[in-house]
Amino acid sequence: MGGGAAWLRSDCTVRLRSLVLASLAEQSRVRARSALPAIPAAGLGPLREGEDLEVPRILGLALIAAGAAAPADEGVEVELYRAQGKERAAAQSGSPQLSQLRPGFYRKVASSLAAMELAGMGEAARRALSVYQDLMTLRLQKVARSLGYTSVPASLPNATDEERALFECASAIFRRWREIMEGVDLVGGRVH
Amino acid sequence: MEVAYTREKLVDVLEYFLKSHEGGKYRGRISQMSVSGSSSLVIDYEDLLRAAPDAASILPDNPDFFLDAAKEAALRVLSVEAPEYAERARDYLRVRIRGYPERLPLRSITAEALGRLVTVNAMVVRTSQVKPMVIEAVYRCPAGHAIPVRVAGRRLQPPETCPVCEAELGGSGGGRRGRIYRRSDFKLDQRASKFIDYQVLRLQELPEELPPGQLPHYVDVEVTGDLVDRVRPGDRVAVTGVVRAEPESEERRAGPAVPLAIFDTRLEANYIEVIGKEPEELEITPEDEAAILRLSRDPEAYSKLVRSFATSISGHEEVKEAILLMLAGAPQIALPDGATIRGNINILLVGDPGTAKSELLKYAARAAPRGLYTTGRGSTAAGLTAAIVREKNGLMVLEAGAVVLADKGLAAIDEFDKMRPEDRAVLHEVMEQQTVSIAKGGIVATLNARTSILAAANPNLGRYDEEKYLYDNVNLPIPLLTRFDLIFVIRDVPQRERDVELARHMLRARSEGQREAPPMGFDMLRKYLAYSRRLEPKLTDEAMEVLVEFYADLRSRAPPEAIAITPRQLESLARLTVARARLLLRDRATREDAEAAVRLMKISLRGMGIDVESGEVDMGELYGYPMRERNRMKVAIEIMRRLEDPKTGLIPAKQLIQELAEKLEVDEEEARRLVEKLWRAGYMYEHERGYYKRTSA
Repeated sequence: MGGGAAWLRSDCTVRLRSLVLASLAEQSRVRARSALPAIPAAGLGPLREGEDLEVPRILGLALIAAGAAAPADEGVEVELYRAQGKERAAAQSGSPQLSQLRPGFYRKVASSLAAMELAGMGEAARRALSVYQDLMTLRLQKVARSLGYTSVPASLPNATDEERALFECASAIFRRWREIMEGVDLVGGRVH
Repeated sequence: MEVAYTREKLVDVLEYFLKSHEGGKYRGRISQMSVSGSSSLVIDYEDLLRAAPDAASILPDNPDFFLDAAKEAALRVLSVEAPEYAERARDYLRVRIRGYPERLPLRSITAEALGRLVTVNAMVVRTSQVKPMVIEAVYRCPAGHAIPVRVAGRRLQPPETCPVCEAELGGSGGGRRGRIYRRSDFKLDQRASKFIDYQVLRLQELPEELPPGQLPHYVDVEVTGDLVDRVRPGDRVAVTGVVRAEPESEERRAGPAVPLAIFDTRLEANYIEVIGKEPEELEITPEDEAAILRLSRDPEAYSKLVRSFATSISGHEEVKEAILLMLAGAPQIALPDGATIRGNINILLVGDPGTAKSELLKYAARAAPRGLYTTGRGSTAAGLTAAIVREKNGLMVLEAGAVVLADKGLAAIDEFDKMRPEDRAVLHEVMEQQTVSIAKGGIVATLNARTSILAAANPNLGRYDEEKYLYDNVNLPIPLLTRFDLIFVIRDVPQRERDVELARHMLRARSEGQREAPPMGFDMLRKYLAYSRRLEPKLTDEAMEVLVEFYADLRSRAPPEAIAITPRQLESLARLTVARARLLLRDRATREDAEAAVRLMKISLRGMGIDVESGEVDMGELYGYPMRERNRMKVAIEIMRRLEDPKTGLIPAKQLIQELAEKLEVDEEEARRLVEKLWRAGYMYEHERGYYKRTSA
């Protein structure tokens, strides 16, 4: 492992990004804004205006960006509000536990926000983003608090893949930081 | 379009605004609150107007509704960013509105403004002590149950009943009706109660907003939380707050005070902005600036400025010039050890009655960026500097006086000689240290008073007697006289040519004929002066050479034992030189500026009877103790020693005067005057009628 920041770039953020980018291969639903001719290379037949189709998210985002389609996934707003409400209630009760989110929650929200932004739904995206930020803040506070314990816990119950990746990267840095401050490197001669 | 908001809807709108505005500007501020321990969230009104115009429109008429919703919204955001801190800050959090545009003159706070949010520009004249104010009082019933009571307004009222005891009694089936306890049975639990800091400020209308001939209006401002102790008397502030009314009450001998139908207006502060310690910037437009710069480049600029000053007063060119330099002033110099050298110029005008001294003072006070005019007769020490006053409610408040209010400006004090000596003595500190220190009533404070003093005094006997020294002509102590950079003696000597000119000038004001227009109008002159004060010119080598030469020359011409020119006068010359460079908008003070300063100093000295062009220069002549005089005093002390009774130490007055007159070859009147001088200087005192005694010194 190299120095802190480089290590974070090369390992931790790559791991996080790869998790989100993996969602580009997942299926998503879009709705044609106007009649579209067949695109055999993409495996698409001709489409009528208003017709829904399921395509890999990367293709769906491309169609949305080109103005040919609009997002047709069920909105994430309701799910976001629900999750944020649950997390806030847990925070107010003083519970240090994360509440459970459905699998792939972050990936879905991130791509939905991107789709909304590309489709020119800026205001809706900003509203959803504001709720999403609350949720992230509340959950990150719990992640961060668990890192401050003398003995960092081995795992976080109810953490999503993305949170687990962050927790593992950060707990490695926290452990290492303690070691250095305790003078382990001075005794053993480990110099990074 | 009017949008009706419920509280919940408004909270939602504001929460969204706080979370999303400008990529999280306010979210960042709120999350920082827990880190810095702050309990105030400052919202820029302009942001609110852009992002949520409908919600913003509620603020002016319904500030309580709006601010309460904004607090709730902020708490919601804070409960995400720092949940524990949100819980703690719930009672203390305040949303403050910055940049609220509805600015009113203080005298517009009338019945119409009640309950509205307004911003007033004013001057702080009083600040009270900071006291804790309870916002949630916790009472204990005799059984020890805690009953929290929210405090609304300023009255603290114990609860009527204890719900816990009542429930217990009700539950036991006692069926007892009526109250269990009286209010007086409840005791306040201070430890469990919540307090915030509380202070009362008094604002006074700005002099420039005061309509001619009107008394200034006042309003008291209640400040709480982190706004307390942010301003000092003399500061100019823009206070944003809600106008409140509180019923006045009539004190009665027996029974409680009766509330009246008349209310007191108070401002509940929401936000306070100190508008610079600088004198308020006159609005100088780019066109004004161009005109100012154009004039400063005119070779005749200096004389045009002098000619534009107090055009209604004929003559007195040198005095006008000096006052103009005084208004421009020199920058204060901060030394590396933290000490400062004053830049303000102080001027004293001593003159015969009817020589337009008061008019000059009034004009200067109007032309100064921050000017106040007062008279010695109507001024006390506390009124000039600062006073500690006890309010009706028992609070001790610090109230700023004239020289503090005129900080970085000018205080014109007329009838200076008629002030009571003890009142005048407070100006010693102001005129050299540029501060006002006060230690009274438990308040110890030092306030800034970087104020130029322009004073006018009449000679003792109505007319200036050229045969006498300055000290004998005006009833002012020497330490105060030495603090004036320039002293001008204005004499009313009949001179046909000048008198005709003056008479014409005075009558022209009442005639039909065209009046001569000055090179610069009054408003432009004020702007020019305000503009010039931004500069900080430095002395050039040539300018220094002129001042050093003058100073050294005068010192070398002082006869032995005489009082030579002092470094204080050198400082004065430097100030005048720099002020002239400022007036001509130059960043370097040149030889020409130094020569002008020397010329003014010479005129000032000549007026007091010291001819610096020829002969010996004894500055003691200014202050009543010239060398000749001091020699005569020595003789007198010798005679006193000889005449004093070895046992009692008594000196017969009659004999002393006779011998003194004989020895000095003067008449008895002159000898009596000398004895009086010794008495005033503290060398002797009148022990009993007709007998003096020497002091031990």
